[in-house]
Amino acid sequence: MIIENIVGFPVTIRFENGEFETYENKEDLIFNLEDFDSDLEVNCDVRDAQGRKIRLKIHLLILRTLELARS
Amino acid sequence: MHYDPKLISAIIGATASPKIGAIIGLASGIIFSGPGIIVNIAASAASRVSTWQKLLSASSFVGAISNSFSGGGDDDDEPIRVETRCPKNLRIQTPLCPGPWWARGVVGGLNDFMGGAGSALTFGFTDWFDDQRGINRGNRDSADYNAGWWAGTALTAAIPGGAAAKGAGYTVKAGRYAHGGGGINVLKDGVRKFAVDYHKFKSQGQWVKKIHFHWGKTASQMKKHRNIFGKPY
Repeated sequence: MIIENIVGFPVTIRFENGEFETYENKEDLIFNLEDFDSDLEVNCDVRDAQGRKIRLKIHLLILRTLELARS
Repeated sequence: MHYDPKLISAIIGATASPKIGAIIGLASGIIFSGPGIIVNIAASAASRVSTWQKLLSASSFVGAISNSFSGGGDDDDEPIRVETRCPKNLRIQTPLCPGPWWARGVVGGLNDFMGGAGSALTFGFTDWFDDQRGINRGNRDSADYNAGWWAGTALTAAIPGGAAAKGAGYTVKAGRYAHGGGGINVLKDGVRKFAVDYHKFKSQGQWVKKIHFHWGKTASQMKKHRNIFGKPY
């Protein structure tokens, strides 16, 4: 699991349909997003509290990756 | 996936009444399968806890889902052709088998899933029951626990047309989640496509713990915690 402290909460996701969702912490992400891969969901935009694009991978309620995206 | 009468009947059978679902599951297990009996006895044993009843009933729903993959699927999905049928070696004639389509759907879905997956499924559910009763508690931080999806391969092989399903990239994973709760997941090429879950989540700003479902084609649809009718909590 890759977690870098520099990712700041809340994390905001703009989904492919324009819907926004905000997650306050890791627990919030795990139990409410549950399964998500920002590498696959290219039409979703995931950003941290500072508005920086991040990589996020959750698989079946296990947080695997939460890091700043390399641009 | 298209919705057919078998699926609708199975939804009714699996969710309309947890008690009835457990009874049907128990009966179908005894009549149709050996391993399934174990699972269904477990369901019966847990009958005082409605949540477990619901989850076990929901497990038959997954079996029914697999049954509904009978052609006419999504454009981007390989259709999985399966049939709901009464066992050829059935010696005991029941009112439901042979019977009308709705009965065959309910019984077939339960039988195919419970009978096929029974032996594999039992490991997880019995552990889970024990766990919920405060016994057999393992180390939740262990690698074994976190890798502890039981019966993923066995479940996939056990569902009707399991080999075809696997060939088309479908797998079924069921078990406990690392941070609490449990669920049954249908994945295609490793990506979650459907789930029956029981764990906490936020509903209208409040943490709740309920049986819920996930399905949809997009991330925004999949993230929703739905009730059996598809309405988000």
